[in-house]
Amino acid sequence: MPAAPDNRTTPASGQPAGGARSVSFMDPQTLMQIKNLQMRARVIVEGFYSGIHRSPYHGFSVEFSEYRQYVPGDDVRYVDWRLFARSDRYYVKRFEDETNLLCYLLVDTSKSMGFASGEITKHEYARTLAATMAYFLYLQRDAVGLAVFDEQISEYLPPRHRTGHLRHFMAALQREPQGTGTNLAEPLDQIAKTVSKRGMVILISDLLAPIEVLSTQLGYLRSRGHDVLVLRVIDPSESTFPFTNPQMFHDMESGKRLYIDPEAAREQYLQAFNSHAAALKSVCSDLGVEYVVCPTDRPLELSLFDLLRARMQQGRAPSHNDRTARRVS
Amino acid sequence: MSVLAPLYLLGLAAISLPLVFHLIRRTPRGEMLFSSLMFLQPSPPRVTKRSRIDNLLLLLLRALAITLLAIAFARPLFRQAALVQPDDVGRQRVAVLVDTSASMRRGNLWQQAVAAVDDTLAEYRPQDRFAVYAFDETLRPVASHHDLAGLEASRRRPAVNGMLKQMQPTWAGTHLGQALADALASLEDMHDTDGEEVAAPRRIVLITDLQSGSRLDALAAYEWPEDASLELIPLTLDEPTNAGLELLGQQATATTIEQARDQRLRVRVTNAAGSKLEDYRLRWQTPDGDSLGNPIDVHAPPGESRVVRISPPKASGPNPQLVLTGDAFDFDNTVYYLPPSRDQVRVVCLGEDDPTDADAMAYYLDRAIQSDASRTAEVVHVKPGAQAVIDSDPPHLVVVTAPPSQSQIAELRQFAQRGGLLLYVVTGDEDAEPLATLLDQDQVEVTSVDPDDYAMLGEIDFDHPLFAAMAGPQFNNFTQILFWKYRQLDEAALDEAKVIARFDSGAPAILQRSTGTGELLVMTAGWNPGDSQLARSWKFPLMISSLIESHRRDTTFSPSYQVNQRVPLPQGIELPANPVVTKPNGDEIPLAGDDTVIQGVDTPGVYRLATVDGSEEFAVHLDSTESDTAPLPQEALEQAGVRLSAEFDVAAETAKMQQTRDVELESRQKIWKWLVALAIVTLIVESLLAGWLSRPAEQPLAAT
Repeated sequence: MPAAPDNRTTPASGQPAGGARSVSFMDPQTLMQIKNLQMRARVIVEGFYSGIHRSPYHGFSVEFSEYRQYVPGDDVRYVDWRLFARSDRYYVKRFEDETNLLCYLLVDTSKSMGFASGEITKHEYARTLAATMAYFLYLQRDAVGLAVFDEQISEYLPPRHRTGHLRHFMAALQREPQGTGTNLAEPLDQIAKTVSKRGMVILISDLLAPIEVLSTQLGYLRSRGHDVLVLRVIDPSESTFPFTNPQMFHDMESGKRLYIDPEAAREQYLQAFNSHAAALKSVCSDLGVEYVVCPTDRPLELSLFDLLRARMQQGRAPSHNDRTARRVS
Repeated sequence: MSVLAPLYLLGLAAISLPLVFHLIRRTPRGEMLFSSLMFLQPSPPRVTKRSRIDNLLLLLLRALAITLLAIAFARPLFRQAALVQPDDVGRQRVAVLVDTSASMRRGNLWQQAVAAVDDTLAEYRPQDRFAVYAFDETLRPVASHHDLAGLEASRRRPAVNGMLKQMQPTWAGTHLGQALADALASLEDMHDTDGEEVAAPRRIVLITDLQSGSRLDALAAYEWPEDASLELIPLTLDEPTNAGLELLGQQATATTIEQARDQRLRVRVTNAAGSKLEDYRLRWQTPDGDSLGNPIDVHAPPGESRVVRISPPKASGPNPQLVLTGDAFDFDNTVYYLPPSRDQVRVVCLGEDDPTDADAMAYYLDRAIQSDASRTAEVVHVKPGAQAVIDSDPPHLVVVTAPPSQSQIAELRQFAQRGGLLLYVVTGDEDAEPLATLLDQDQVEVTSVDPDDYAMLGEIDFDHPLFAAMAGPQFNNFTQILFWKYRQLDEAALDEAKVIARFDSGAPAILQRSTGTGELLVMTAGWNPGDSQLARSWKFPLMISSLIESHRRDTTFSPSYQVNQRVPLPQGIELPANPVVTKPNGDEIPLAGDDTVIQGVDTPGVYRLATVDGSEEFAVHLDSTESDTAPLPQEALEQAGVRLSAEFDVAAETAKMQQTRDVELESRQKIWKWLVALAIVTLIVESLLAGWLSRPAEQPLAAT
């Protein structure tokens, strides 16, 4: 039975509502005190589970089952004998294929991800996000793969659901990034070419790249039948540009240096940043890609809601009726 | 107007600082790492009001304050008097010391020295007073300041140069410490004759090779005067190699003279530190230079010495020489060999003791003075009533153990007056009268003391030859020698008598008094077992031998001496009517009839004294320290308390004097105080003005 909607979150936006947020979700800065990535993910997911009972969102994969009347020829191993004891009728249990969902987590480790105006870098937040999603999906017995990239893919783990896979996954995420610039085209293209079986692709990046490239590659992924969730990790200062002192600004990726007077440049920056964000959102919307902005001070549990929401929305999308039917059948 | 510390004027550069602070562009203070600059455009630096000079008056006030402070720190002064001229520098009192020791015979050192003196004198002005001295073992004036003061200024340098060119280094050692002290004393004398120049500093210019063998010990007891300084002009040679040869003597193990002649000679080969060679050869040669026998190789590393035993040549003519070869400089390479003659020691014992009585003093005296390889000893016993104590040649020692007769007292007194050594042992009250006569006293009180148990020697002068051999800590324990009785003399009544040892009661045990050229020693206790245990100690023979030897050393002829040493005339010779000593170069030293010593032996070699029966020969050798030619570090002079100074420079002295005068003038004028006060006033005005300019503008009342 679905739980009552949690009035502390706004599912549409994924943002917590009101001051109850500090009570329900762990502060990312506190979470980052846990050094072990898997432990960190576990804490987030368990916190998420404790709240999901009151949430309207359910798991979308292995939980779903149905009964059907037994007909001769069915495998007798799947007859539910308890139900038979209660109802004196033969029913057969139907399961969602456990390996049906293949999820690819694409984590950006370019140099721009190393930026932090506070204590948490975007990269730290992104890999915690990836770890959390992976742990969550692993618990649901989904196969999770990983691709860590900057200008090209530096780490790749094919989606598996087997013992030890999660440990390898966390170890790959734990490695410090050596990246330079961001090139979204190459890794997305590579993933699209590599993965033949349809699944879900979660792209975790700051998306500080030209929109045209992203548009092309996301469209390519979508055309291969993948569900795509884009989690855009940004630092709060990137969206507000709160600096005051004139100084030399050093581009972390290109090494370019510019003398910037923030007072003079803020307006123009915010304008450019917001238009870039709007264009991103527009592109994602056009392609049927779920697009969520994740500032690094945002509680990580909310991203799991985003995941569920994305699955539900995409599951309801007309273009995906065939997939839904496939799963349910 | 002038300044004392012009470097502080560099502070004027600080005037530009306010200007720079005003005009300097605002540059970013730091760098900011940002994720991406794709949304940013470079923003040009903002031109603010800071880029313009807001208030010229404030700027000028600040610049004025800095200027005043900079000038104040530079300590300005107004020169009222004329500048100091070179002639204003005080007159100098200078003693130029030229080393003429034997080591200066090496290479062209002497020519260097003459040139150095000339260069030094060129630096001084006509009004400076200077003297030129030569020194080796003694300090001798070459040209005194009186001589030079009498000459025209232009003729002084040529005169000194001419005198030095006629001189040559001597063969003497280098007594540098004593020479410096004497030179300072001579400047002190110069000082006293001219009262107006009391404050003039004394200056010594030392021109020397400063060899390590220079003796500085005289400076140890000398306090270097405050007003004196030493300018050292060291002379050096490119060739550092030098080895020297020194005669140590012959071993006295033979029992006859013939055997002694065969004994091997001991010589020391010393190689100076810094020498480039270490292998030398020793060979015998005749005075004409003909080689005798085969040479001997000697290996002596630089800075070390080797003692070599070498046999005298078997078949040789008169006066063979041992020569060291392979050396760069040969001034110290020759030892003149004369066969040793046997010493004779004669002691007269005046007393009533039986020499065979083991309780008597004579018995122990006989055994303390024995013949050996190097000497023939003879003790003559004379009774107090005998006609004469000294029948032929004067003995080396006369020991009196019983009161002599009147005639004997007179004879003993004459003996002591003529340089004899007399040991008088006081045995009882009856010695008072003879002692009074010998000590030139009206009366001497003698009191017999018989301690309850015993007396010991409590206070001993170990510097005296009697005890010097036992000064070492392992030998100087005299507490085992007990005295059963002794005689007390009234010490206060004995004029000019020096106490050599006292008993533990404080009473004198041994006294010494010089009479004429001789010595009189008085012992207040005997060495016989009735008086003490002294005779039965090993120390007794040593004391008697030391006493005789120390006296003989100065008075007895021996075959080898050092340059400038006083050579006593041999005993038992008869001199001709006009006695002369022939020097190695053939020159003659005439002797007066009553001379007891030969003086003026200033050249190494064999000297010959003609006598009626033939001749006596003796050799004179170089001071062995002259062979140590390695340069002495200048620090050794400073450690000895010498204050070294730089070369005299009139220009530098003028500048120093000008500076001193300026300091005095500035301290009187104190202009800096006024400048600092003015700077403070300027800063106050600047603060007030700045405060007034930055006051907030009047705010209009807000409408309500």
